[in-house]
Amino acid sequence: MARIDVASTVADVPQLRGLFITAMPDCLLFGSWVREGETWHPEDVAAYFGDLIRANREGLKALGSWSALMQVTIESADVLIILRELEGDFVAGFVFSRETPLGMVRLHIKRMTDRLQAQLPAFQVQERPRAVRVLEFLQRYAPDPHASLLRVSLQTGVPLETLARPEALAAEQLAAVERSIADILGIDELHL
Amino acid sequence: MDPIAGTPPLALSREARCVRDLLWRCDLPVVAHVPAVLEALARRGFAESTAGLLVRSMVGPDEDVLVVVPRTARVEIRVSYLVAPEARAARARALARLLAECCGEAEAAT
Amino acid sequence: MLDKIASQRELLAEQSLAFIADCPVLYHCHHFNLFLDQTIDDALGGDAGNALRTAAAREAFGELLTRLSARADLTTPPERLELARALFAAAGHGKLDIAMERGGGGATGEHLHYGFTWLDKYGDAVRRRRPADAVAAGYAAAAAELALGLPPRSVAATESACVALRAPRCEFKLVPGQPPEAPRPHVGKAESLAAAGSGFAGLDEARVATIADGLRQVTAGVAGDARGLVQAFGVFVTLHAATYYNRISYEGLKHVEHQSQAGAAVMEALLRESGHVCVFNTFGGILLSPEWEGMVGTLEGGVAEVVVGCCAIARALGFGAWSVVRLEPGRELVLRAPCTYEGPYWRAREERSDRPRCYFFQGAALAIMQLAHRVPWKDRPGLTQEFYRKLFAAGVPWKVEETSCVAKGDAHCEVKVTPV
Repeated sequence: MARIDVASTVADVPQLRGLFITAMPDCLLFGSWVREGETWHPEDVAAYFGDLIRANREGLKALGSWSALMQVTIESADVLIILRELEGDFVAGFVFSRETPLGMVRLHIKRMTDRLQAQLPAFQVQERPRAVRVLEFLQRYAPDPHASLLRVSLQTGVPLETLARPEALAAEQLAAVERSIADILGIDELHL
Repeated sequence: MDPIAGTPPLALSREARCVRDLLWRCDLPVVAHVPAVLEALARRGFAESTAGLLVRSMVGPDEDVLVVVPRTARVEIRVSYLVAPEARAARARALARLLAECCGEAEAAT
Repeated sequence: MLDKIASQRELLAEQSLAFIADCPVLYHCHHFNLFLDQTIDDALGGDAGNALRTAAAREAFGELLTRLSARADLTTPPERLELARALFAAAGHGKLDIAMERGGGGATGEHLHYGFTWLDKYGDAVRRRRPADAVAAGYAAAAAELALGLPPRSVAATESACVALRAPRCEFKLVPGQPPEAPRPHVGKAESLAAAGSGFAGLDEARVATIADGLRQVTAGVAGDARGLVQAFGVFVTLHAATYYNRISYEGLKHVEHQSQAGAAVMEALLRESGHVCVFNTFGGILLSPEWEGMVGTLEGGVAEVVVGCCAIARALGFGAWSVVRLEPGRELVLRAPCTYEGPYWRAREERSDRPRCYFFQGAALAIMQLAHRVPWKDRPGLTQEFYRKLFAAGVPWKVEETSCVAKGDAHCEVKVTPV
């Protein structure tokens, strides 16, 4: 999957456990590197990190404090995560061992970001149809994802075969599907 | 040695069907000591609520349950669902230490 | 009071169907309960779904409480309310206090099965918008009707606060004097026997029967804890009214069938999924439990061992006398029951069906094949939600067909599972 050389980007950072490059706004994995022994699923991680950045953007806009190329820091029990927006609408998610000193983290990130930025393509990532993205969002967050399409179909009357080709959904079908997904996830509307 | 109980610790692991840290497993080292371990638990306030002799259930003062299989010495630690999720692992460790103490008493009595 | 309830428990042994005061009952876990309720709401919409679920609970438990009260000769309102409270808690539904006078009243619930377990299972992931405890609402209405001698099915119940909506406790408003819902035919032992075929000695019949008997002894000792909840085998368990499950399933499905056959097929798939989720969690939990190890032995994980064990579990929980007609590992499983807990309801209340109607049985059979073939038992697999999702991520490699069903007038119910 990697269309950039992520492995050499991280070569001299022993505290790094994983690096995930997410292409926005679709939250798709663009490239990744995971240290041997980790059992993470890069596609999942990249998608969730993308959603986090989108939520962060919305939150900062609500505070009137938004600016491009923001950074999010997450400190969990065993990892330190830095999500960094990159030019070209990419997001880099750096996952460090928890005990790594913050100063060291910043230094490594500066160096790795420069390397990544030099490799990332300059083209504008094309946004996929909204219907595709909303159904992917459902799959990521539905409590029982294997049953989620059945639930949407039952709630909306949109046949399963149609949901399997979401790009072909008519406007009113998409609106019904979005209302259904919001209902399943218990949110007022989908911000995608 | 367990630093708190002063007895050999029991290996503790999550049960295969553990959800939200509620179910844990450890195995008593000596099958023959099971009756004495159950007696030691009773002395610590655990009450038996057993449906049959093939499995013995001991309910603790805080509603945690220790289910013991006498034939194999398997113990399932069922942490009370009233314990906050973030505190359940610690509760399970405490119960495993308690079991280790009971094993120590059973060992001393033989 | 618990003695009075226990004395009214009966078992149709050949059919493995259980009754209290001639009302069909069975054990189901919170995974099944939540999923089925959710499916009804998906089919009808939240308000209509809640209304159907409340009405079904009021009807099913109203009948149960009325018959139980009559047999125990309980005549005063306090006695009858105490019976209702005791049964509710003993069955694992939680604590429900009902205060009712002729002009109206209310009820307060603590640790109600549906709201509490919804919060436990889904609370971290999604925000709920509607109350979860239609069963408790209907139950409270039925108990109030019985206690005050009001016409059956005439008290309206609404849940005004719910722990699943982050309220500290559940609150219900009870309003008497509504037009009574029309009575429906009773489904009891006689109706079940009329629908059921005879027992069938399948693969390892003696072993299935022995394990089922042992498990029944275990379940007979299961009762609500201090909060009226039952936690067993890694799930929260209820002793529930079969009529509740059947009415909401079939009336919900009929509503969808009127609108679209394609929609009905989707709902049938979700009803099967409720069986699938139940077997995976509850049956899997029992197979790995210390109770199973003590009674049967450590599970080795052979296909036949798992399938036979699942049939025994189904019998002990009151799902019907499931037997293995044919088992070819990797190729085919055929299960038969004189009837399931679903069939007698259809036979008693609906026209003869042109198609099979035991959706739980169908989904359960699929799940049994999953458990038997796709779970590495010797590795002590984590039967977690993540594992469940992973199994589904690559699709279910089996399909199921119910080849005979008492709802169609067949002599028994039979399902066949084969590879896709």
